[in-house]
Amino acid sequence: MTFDYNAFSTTLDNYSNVDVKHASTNHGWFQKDSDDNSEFDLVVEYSYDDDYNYRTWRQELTVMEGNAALFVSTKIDHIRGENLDDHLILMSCFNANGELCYAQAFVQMKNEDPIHTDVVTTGDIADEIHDQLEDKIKDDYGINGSTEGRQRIPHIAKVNLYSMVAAFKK
Amino acid sequence: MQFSFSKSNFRAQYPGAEVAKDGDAIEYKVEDSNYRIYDPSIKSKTSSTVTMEVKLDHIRGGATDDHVDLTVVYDTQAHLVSVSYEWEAGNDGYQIPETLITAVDIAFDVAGLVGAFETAGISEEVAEGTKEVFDVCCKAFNDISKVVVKWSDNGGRMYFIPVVCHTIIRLSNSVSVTQ
Repeated sequence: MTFDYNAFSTTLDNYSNVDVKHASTNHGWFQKDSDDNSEFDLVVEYSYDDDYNYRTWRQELTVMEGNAALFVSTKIDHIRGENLDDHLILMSCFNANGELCYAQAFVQMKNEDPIHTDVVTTGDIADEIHDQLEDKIKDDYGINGSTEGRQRIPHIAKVNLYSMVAAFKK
Repeated sequence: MQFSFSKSNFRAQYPGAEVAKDGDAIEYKVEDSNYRIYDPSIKSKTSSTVTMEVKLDHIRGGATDDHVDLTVVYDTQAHLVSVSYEWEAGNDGYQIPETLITAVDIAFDVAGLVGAFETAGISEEVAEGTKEVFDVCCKAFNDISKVVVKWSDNGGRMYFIPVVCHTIIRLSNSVSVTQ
């Protein structure tokens, strides 16, 4: 039971409104810190609808005993230039057939109330995470509030979850 | 019952980890932050349970680390019975007092997890243990994140929650019993 990181970033790049930066080199994965060559310093950066930028950190994995399931977690940054990035944490689990069987997400944005989904284990899980996040996103975050980029965070969560599904290998 | 814990198996599940604290811990970097996991220890044993303890730090450089103490109880089959946690944020005075999660009390819909066991050939023994770990991790992530997310906008403090969940699973993967 493994996770194909290149399949993740390739799938992400294949969404029509997502553009993975320098995708032709190492499938878009690059060292965030040029002095660090550790595996978990790798990130993928991408724009959504051209103008809004996000960064997914290399997903952390734990295989459950007997290959019974795979837990995958990640941190996603909404890159806001001079302003502090927003953070989206995703926790998820894939069953032994590679189907998403659990996800939960929360979002932290400077000077805003955090957003938190329920534990989702049924239905179209990625869709449900999207809908629960979207319910809480405000219409306007004010000056320097990156409103348009924040309004796309629910979509970012969904396309990341779908790309994680594509990355799962038995 | 002979209960055993494999430290080498436990440590090997932390990718790129380095030994620290005179050999008593490992440290690893993930999602742009650094974490320290002390070697789990057996705290007590009864005829029906084994209680293990794990301490974890979110390493914050010049500031006081965030600390988590986990107490994890296993039964005579090395299945997870309960986890309790205490959470203390460095500097800011935030904390979660000791809180207990008991596996049998949790009632998530786990059909999506369990439904795959038969087709994937997962044994009943493994399946039962897996469900308990799954339940406890989902519950821990949910309960802890609701509190910690309000403390401060710090990505490393936030990602400490998944680190704790991975640790519960990795510990459960590293314990076994022989009758």
